[in-house]
Amino acid sequence: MNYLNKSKFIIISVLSILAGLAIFISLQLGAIYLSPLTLLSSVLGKISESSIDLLVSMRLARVLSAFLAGCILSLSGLLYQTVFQNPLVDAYVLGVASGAVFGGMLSLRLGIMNPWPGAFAGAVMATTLTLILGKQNGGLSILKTLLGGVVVGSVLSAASTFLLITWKGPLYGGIFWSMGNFSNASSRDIIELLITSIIFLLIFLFLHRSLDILLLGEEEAVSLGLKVGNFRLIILTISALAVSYVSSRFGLLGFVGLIAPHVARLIAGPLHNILIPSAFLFGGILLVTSETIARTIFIPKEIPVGIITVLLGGPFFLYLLGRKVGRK
Amino acid sequence: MVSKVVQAKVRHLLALLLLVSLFISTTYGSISVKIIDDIGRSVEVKLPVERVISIQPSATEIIFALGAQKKLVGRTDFCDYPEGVKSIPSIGGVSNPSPDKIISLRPNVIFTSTMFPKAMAEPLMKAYPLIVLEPNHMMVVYDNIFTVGKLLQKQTEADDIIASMDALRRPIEAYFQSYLHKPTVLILVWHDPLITVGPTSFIASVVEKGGGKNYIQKDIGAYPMISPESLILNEPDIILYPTKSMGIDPAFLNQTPFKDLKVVKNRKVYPFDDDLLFRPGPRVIQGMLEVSKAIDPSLKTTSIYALSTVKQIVFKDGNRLSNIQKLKNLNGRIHVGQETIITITKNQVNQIKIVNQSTASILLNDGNMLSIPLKEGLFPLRLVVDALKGKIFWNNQHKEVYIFIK
Repeated sequence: MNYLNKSKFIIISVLSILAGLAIFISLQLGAIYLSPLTLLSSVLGKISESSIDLLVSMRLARVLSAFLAGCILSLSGLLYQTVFQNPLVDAYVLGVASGAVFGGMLSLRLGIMNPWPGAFAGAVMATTLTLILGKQNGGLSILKTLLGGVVVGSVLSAASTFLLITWKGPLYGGIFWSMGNFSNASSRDIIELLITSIIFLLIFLFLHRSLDILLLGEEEAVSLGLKVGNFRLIILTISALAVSYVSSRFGLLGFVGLIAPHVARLIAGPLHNILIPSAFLFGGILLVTSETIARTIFIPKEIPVGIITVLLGGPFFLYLLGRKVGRK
Repeated sequence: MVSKVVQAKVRHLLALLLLVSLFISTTYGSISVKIIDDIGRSVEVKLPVERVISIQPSATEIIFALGAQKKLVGRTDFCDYPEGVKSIPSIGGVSNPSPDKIISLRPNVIFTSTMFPKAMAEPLMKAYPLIVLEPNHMMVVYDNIFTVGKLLQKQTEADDIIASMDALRRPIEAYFQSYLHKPTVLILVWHDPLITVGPTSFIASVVEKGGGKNYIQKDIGAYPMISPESLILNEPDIILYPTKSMGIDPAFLNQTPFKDLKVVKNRKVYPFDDDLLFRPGPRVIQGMLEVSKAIDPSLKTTSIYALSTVKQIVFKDGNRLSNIQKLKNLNGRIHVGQETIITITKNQVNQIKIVNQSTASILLNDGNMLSIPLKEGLFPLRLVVDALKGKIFWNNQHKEVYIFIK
């Protein structure tokens, strides 16, 4: 085992253990403490009290949904940062979030009480529009796509605000997406998220070398035989679909897709074969931890998870950044 | 020389003018009232108030209930009650009204809520008295009706509204006093995320006055977002969900966590008109009644009478009906004349016959006949109500009788 493989192994194992630990602790905490024994016997179907079963299944759905959503957002953020070669880019760069908010609010406004399909359609629509705007010579231009994303996002969020202001109906439904929330997660979400995230992870683990090449710059990549335009389009389409799904279902979860990839890069270095699983795992850890704090700090009151993500992720990122700079 | 005389005359005239204007300003300036509003600000309002802007649906409803709508020159897009409100120009939303519109309407006073943005309120406050009506308790709604009535010179009307609200609130309080276990009521503001009302919201006080116990007792904010887990852990006895402005699709009851709750399985979930319960105006008493009816469904088919022995007035369901006929306290028991008995028993009684000076027979709609002993030709109220399976309460503090009867 050479040095690189060994360090890769250590990093991934440590992150996996941390992820398992975060999930394990989160499952225990909530309005009522569930001991590991209770959790285990409930999962094995050995509890007769139905309310405990219900609690376990609800908490399982919430915790795992938060974890997997964090994984997806972080990995998308990483991919976007690689594609655009820009560290300020996050998972919402293509206007996905504004699209989801707009689509969902439009559905509610039209009297459709189940806004998730509308939100997903809105997210996909926004991304498609951005990608069309970014098209150039059969491929994708970084600058045009970035600008397109900014414009599409701004237009759609303005449209959402317009809907909200001119709306005399229930405002809470509309505000939902801007807060980010896992309280409605169900066991179906776990399965859907699990499939989405695993496919997402495997595709890009498989493509990790091409991603490394992309980091060398457009000319280098082309000279090494990579069809840069097409490759960018594939990456963006796949991750946009994944992010659309997460945003439409759980609302805006800012910061995870920006900061988690950076933290992963500081831990694992620039090579994608380690970076991808690290970002994936760290995004999950960050979101699941934030989500747990958000729902337990003021029981029975809940606070928007986004606040905790920033309060937790920000200082941690600064600490890592400071250490890295100090070492150099 | 001539010019000097003219100058002097002009000076005299100016002095006179100044004196007159001073006189006018003192006469009008002296009639002003100081109001302490719901966020503790002291606001001076010059009387008479002729032009009012309401930036709050509940204030609009108070003004209409007082019969002062002629003075209302501006309202919000959300003010949709009562009927005549549409003819009054709107100044925009509750949280984003147009300041230009407000200024162009030249108000003498502005009623608003804490939803009104501070940045917009500050410059307006310097020019116009701005009164924030944001009650944190149902009884403060009473105070607000009184304040608005005072400012719009509708004190008598304000007293009438409060009297008719009391004619429902006090009977309901008396009715539920005997409940040893007050059911916990979860008022949904929104179902996903789960938002309800905390003890600092006036809505919680309406729930308590209506005979329930608000689901959230800990002070965690007026409209807290709460965890669905706590619902399972600590189930409410009753759930109420809004159907009007904040309308929620009842389909949420088929989803987790609601579908597994005992309260849902036992069908103790009721829709309510949130325009009644969520607006701190005169109709809040109807909102309170919706809570009471959810707690005790028998109230849905019951009429509530309040008899004020001091003012000698009968109220039915909060509406002033008539004066009490021949009210008399005989041996500590309240006796009334035949007409008042007819008023109260209208739904159940077919005919009342006075047999002789000391007996009356009451023929019920179901064919049964009751024989009632009279005293001095008057009917003993409690006996009649008991015979008709109604409930009767005596409020010693206000000297009032409350009757719940089908």
